[in-house]
Amino acid sequence: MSKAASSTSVLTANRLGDGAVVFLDYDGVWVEQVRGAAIARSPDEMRALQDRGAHDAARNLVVEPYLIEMQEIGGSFVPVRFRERVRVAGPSILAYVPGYTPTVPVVRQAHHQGEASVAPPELVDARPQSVAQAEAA
Amino acid sequence: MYRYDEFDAEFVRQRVAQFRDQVHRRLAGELTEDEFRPLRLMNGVYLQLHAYMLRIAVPYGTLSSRQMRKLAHIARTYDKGYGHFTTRQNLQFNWPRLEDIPDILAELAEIEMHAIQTSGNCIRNVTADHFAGATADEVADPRPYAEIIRQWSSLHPEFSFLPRKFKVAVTAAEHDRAAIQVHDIGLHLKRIAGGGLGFAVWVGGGQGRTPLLAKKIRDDLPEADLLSYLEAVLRVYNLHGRRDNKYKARIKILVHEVGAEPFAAEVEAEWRRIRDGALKLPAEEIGRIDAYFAPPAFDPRPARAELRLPDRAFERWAARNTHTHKQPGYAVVTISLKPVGGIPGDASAAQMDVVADLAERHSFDEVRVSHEQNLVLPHVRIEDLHAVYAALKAAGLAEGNAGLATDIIACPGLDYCALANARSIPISQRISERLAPRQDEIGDLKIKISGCINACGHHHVGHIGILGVEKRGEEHYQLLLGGSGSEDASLAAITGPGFGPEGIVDAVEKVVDTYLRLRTDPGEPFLAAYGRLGPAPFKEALYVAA
Ligand code: SF4
Repeated sequence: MSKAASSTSVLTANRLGDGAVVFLDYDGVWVEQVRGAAIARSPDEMRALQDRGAHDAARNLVVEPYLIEMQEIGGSFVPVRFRERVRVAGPSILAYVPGYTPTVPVVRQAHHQGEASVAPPELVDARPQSVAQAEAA
Repeated sequence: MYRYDEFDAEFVRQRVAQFRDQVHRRLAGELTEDEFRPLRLMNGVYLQLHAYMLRIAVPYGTLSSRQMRKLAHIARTYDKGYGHFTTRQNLQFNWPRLEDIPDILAELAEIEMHAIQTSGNCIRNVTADHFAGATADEVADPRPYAEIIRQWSSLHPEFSFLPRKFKVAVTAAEHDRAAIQVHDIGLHLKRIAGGGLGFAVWVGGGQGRTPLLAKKIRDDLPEADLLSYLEAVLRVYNLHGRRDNKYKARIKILVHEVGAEPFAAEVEAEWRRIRDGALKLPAEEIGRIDAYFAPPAFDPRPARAELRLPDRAFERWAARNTHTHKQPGYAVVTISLKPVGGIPGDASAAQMDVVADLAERHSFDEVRVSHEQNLVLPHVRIEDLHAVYAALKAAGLAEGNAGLATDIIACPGLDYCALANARSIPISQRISERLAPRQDEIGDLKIKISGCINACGHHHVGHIGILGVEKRGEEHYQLLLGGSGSEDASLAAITGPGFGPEGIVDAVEKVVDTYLRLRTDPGEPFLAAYGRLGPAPFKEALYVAA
């Protein structure tokens, strides 16, 4: 089986208005948490996600959509590349940032109708402890 | 400080209005991202890994208290409460919403600031010695010339679409704090034959993928000819610089490929043609700009013979973080943005406000941003140093580590930057924590970290440089030794195979241990020891010794 056929991917982009990192979910909605992201397991599914990304970029919902390759570790999916793990989790250093004030996330701004697919697998946030602390602070 | 004239104010105001309209059209779907991207970049707006980023120009690193307070206000109102001072003396906000950026730019225009030419293939913000106008070791304040270059280069129609970006740095001191030899053009203001002021002109330096030191192509350029000569250099570059390959498009490649002498000859030929034209700088015009940078009204009372030293921590801070001022009784103060284990260059809105207050009260309303990602109060009465220290301490800004091993330059790296291969900031934090207990014993040491080959963290000119790369999807780090961005400029050399994120911290410590073990005495600087010993003992410690 080819690498492409065996790999799994999610689609990410930045939301046009505020730049927030978003992921396409099974409802065709761009959400801020990777947990809800639609996962593509075959070249066809990947192409479908990419098409949706291009469509939504053309509709000015999001900017620069691209696929992130995921791997299964201990029953959860995490990005293969470290770069994408940081993108998914946010900066690893926020606990150290002087004066950092987390904003309240705004989710489900960009919306599509329907297209629900199979139940979402579990995707982990993989957020470093320090970030969780910073956001809790 | 320079103040906008009516032309400047109107130009910036119009630019904000234009960009507001462009953002509006983008959000309304009338502009595609491909159409909008060059427009946003011209206004300093990048799309980074997690969000938009706004890069604001701080011309030659000089800020007033009012400007600093406004930056604090923007951090608080539109961003996440902090900003990041960069190695180009600029300020970056990491989380602005595109929707808010026209308002941010309008607020900046109120205080005579903008984000124009902080991106794109144009002449970028001119940088200068951060001690300019204050340090005892300069022949004159170089900032009036930086301002003249700023005015000449702002929206210069011929140089708005160069083959690649173009960076100019200016110093007027023999000890180069502006790293002029790793800029596209480096200018050294000095006395020339006849006793007047003029420039040594260095061309073709740069870091990035192909690091090269600049070549001096002129040693005695009269100040009146500054702009015509720069115009000639830019014309030759604009004509011959490569546009077919962005990795070979910087002027450093052109100078390297053509050779410094033929390049200089072509510049001279062009310059002879235009030197007595419209770009000649009359003495009155230089004087007019000079007047904006007139020295403040220093207190002429003689300084007390000795600085009172009320406590050891203050004594240590004052010894490290002050520099000799040209005016007796005053000192130049470095405010470290490098708390041990902290994030190089980051400051909270509250800290910016504290610095603004201190500048207003103790430094004639002036703050500087250094390319080493620190802030500077340029004119502090020696008698006020303790009060300044106490206020900085209360704000978490009194780290007495200027120039030490914990005064690390680190680019934003993979925590923010879309181009990054690896994180820079956490590596700097771990190294800072590791070396902090011994930093006084180690002495002067410049550690510089970049998250990718673009070298924003100046790793090529670090005594110890670290470059983040990606290896099989994971972070990996190359170690370089022996670089300098000062008047003794040199490029650091890679030691050998790289290290993982933990290994690189151990590796830096091994280099430091080797230096401490082999230096002739505590007075032998790292670079001198490295020059004397060569890389062998360091490589041995890194790769051979168990
Ligand atoms: S060196 Fe690379 S990672 Fe660091 S800020 Fe520059 S482009 Fe980004």
